[in-house]
Amino acid sequence: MSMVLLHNVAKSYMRGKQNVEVLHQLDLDIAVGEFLALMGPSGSGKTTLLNLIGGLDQPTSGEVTVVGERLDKLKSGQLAKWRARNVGFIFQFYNLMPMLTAEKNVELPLLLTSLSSSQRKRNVQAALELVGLADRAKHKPSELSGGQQQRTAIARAIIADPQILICDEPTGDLDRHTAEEILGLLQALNREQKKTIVMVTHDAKAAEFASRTLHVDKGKLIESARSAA
Amino acid sequence: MKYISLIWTGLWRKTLRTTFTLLSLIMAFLLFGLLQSVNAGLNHIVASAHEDRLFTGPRFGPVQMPMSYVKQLESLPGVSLVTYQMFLNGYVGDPKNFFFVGGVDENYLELYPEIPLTPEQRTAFRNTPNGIILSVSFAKRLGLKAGDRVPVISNVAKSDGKNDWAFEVIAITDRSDSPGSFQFSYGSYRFLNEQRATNKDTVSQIEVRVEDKKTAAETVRTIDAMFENSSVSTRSTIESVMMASALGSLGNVGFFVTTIVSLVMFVLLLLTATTMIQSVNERATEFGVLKTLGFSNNQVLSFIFAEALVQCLLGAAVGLVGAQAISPVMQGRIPGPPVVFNMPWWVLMSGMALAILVAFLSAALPAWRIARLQLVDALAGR
Amino acid sequence: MNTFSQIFAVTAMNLRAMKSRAVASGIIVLGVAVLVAIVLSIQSIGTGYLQSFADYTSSDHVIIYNSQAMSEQQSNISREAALKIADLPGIKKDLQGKPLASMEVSNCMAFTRRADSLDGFTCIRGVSGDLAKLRPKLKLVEGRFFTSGLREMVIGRQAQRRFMGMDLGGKVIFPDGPWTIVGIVEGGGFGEGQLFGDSETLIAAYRRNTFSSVLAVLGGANALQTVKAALAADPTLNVAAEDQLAFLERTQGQPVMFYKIITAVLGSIIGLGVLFAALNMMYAAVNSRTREIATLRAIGFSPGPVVASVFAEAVLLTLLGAMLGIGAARFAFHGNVFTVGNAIIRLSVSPTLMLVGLGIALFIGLMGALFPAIRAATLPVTTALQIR
Repeated sequence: MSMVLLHNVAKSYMRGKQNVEVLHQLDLDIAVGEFLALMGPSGSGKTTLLNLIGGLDQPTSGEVTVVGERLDKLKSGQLAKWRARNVGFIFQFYNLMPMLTAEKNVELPLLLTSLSSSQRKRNVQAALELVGLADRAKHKPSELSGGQQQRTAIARAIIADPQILICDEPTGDLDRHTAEEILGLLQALNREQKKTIVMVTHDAKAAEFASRTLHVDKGKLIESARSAA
Repeated sequence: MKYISLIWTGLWRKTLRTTFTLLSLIMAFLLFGLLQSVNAGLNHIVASAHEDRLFTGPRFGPVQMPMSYVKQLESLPGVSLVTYQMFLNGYVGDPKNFFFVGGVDENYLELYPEIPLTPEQRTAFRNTPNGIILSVSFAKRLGLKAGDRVPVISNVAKSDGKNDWAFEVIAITDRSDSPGSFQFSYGSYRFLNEQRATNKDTVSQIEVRVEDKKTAAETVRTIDAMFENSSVSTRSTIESVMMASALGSLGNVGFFVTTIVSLVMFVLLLLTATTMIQSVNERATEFGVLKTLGFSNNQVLSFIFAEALVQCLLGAAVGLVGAQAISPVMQGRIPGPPVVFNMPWWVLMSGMALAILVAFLSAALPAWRIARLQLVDALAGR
Repeated sequence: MNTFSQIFAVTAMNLRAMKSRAVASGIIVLGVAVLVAIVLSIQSIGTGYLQSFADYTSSDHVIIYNSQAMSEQQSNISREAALKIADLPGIKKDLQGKPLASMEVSNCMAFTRRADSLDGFTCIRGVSGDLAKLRPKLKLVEGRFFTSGLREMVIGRQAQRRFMGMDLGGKVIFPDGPWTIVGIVEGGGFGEGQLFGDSETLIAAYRRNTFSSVLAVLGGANALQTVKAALAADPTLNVAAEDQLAFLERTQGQPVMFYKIITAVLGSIIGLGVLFAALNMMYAAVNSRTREIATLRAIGFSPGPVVASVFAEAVLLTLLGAMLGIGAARFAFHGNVFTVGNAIIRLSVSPTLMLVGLGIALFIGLMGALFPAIRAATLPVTTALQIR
């Protein structure tokens, strides 16, 4: 069964007066439970592809089906609702709210649900425990290390129990050791919680944690050998 | 409710900026509250002036009218009460401490039911020849309290040829219709008239109540016509007309207040709008993240508006409460024409409404920008 | 580079950067302009009021009045006393040897205003002899002066504009019947809102036998002291002498204090509001240039020029605001006719007042720059340069 199905997808941007096509007639199928790594040089279109899968952007043409929904047909309000239910996001620079504590940051997606305040608190506690950050709940991002911030971001990404996690260079700002801890955490989420993960990275070592790696180059996909994992 | 902490923490993203903006807002609404309450106070005095009370005084400057005028007015049809005053001006201690007393007849306070006195005070006033009743603001200005003896140097000479008078404060009371607005001081006509050396059995002002306020203007004309060719011709006026003309010589206070308040509010609007724009622009990525997490455009916009609203309402509330707290302190402290502070509920309400308006206008531009923000650009920090 | 050229270089750089903060800078300018305009226009009433006294009086004039009286209207001086006073040493004599003194009577009463048909008050002054003799600043512009002994009067231009029926040839009713307006005078500040007639005829009309005061021209050195000494030597007179301007300020000056207080209260509230706004904007200005400032410091600029440039920017903006505010107040209000109580005055945005406006602006500029400048100067260079 497919979690993500892209058919004949093209995406172009207006950059100044020039129309630049970033993705060309692209097809992609990601199965439920996959951990896919997208690699490629800067400007190859890998982040654009990730944004399309995460419902942050829409294709110029073609079909994008994620978790059974045709995203290319949705309006931006519908997309927002869809994202809240189905996707968790993890960014290179964590993108936490600087004024909120870790637990308040993690709680954010739950504000969009009808859960009561005590239910939210329980879920947040559980998510922070899962990422191993329960003792840092009351700290603000500025008081956390890079790894701890990324764990907070992961807790935020999974709190609403989405089916798919979208990771944009999740270890790009971390040292090797911390990066491996974070990737191990993602791998565990993939294996134990059955989350489908799509991760953009330019780090071959990071891609080794994925179950499949695709290379994006000049807007086209190139399948590479399956990783050992 | 669950969004409150999100809005509150967003507001205090830059403590210093929010503090200064709030302080500016507080100052602006303090000004709004003070000026509007002065304006409202003046209008209240005019609005609560009676249309059935008439004042008759000498037409040509400060001379006295013979007591016989009072009797003549009592016989006028439609007149239900006639009473009178003699004015004694002077000072207490230093010539700067202006003092006056209106010597009145026993029936005088019947004309002013809005000056409350207890039965004990009434009795004491009747039985103390040199007793005086003061308004709160008059007493406050001279630092007097009930029971005080007040030595006064006056321009009215006593029969012994001296100008020093001594009064005793019987009661300090206030006009129940406009507390704090009037300075008054009443003593006994009989006592003053007995003691003074000259002008015996004359009065400075006659006050009349008509049965039907519709006849007031007619009565004014009748009275002045009665005395036109007498030794002292008169000029009479209705209380409400007198108040309106006194307000008229203060100039157009309403216009003055509106101009100042609008100018200050305009600057304030620009200030809050600029800080809102700065604050929202700095957080464009954060708003982008919220949208990424699935918050709708309208939700994110409502956070921005709510933040502006909280800030403006907070500033307005503190400013207006401050104005209400300061008003009684200022009351009677400003020499010169009467400055009256009176903050009716509509001043508070219009202040809050103004705060809401400032909030919406100042949040509109940054909100519009965030609404048009492309998610992909926001996340990329563009 | 020496300090001055450093300051100059940094300030010039800041001024160029100001373009990008046009709105924020504009708010400081506008805020200070509004503050200065409001302060100056309210205070112009008080200043104009004082000015109207100065325009009415002469520095060598002395007024002699009943020492018990708190105002001229309450003062009474008998004819004998008045004649005695006019002859006192220290009072100037004319070429014929007659004292330059006027026995005066002042009385205030209500007339109907043109604007709203309600009562307004003004004073009628009786003078003896020529009006022009002791009131040289009143210029006759229409008709002629009144004739002694006749029921004639000369009125000020502002009284004419203010009251119904007060026109050349018009009649004003007095206790002894109608008086004819034969002339209109202009200038003379405070006097332009009043009516003038012959004092002998006026006291006869009032059926009084006393004057209110004597106004006289002083002659010779220490003349005021001479007059005062002469008055003190004759306790039966029971009168006091005072410089004409000082007397007016003392007895009629309450509105000056009133407008001073109003100006101070409104000025400090608005001033604080503007100061907080300026602090806000100057902090933002420093913050937006954190990296620039740190770079300058890193390449060897001392904190001094950076601090000076912050001050220069704030002061420049507030002074610009002050100019606008002063200009607005001066052009919109200076010289406008205004009623203070019963007096008609011209609003005065005087040079002194304009300096006050400049001072207020300067104060706000310096205060608004102080803390942001300290922030700029103490910024840790290393962390500032790391800001993304």
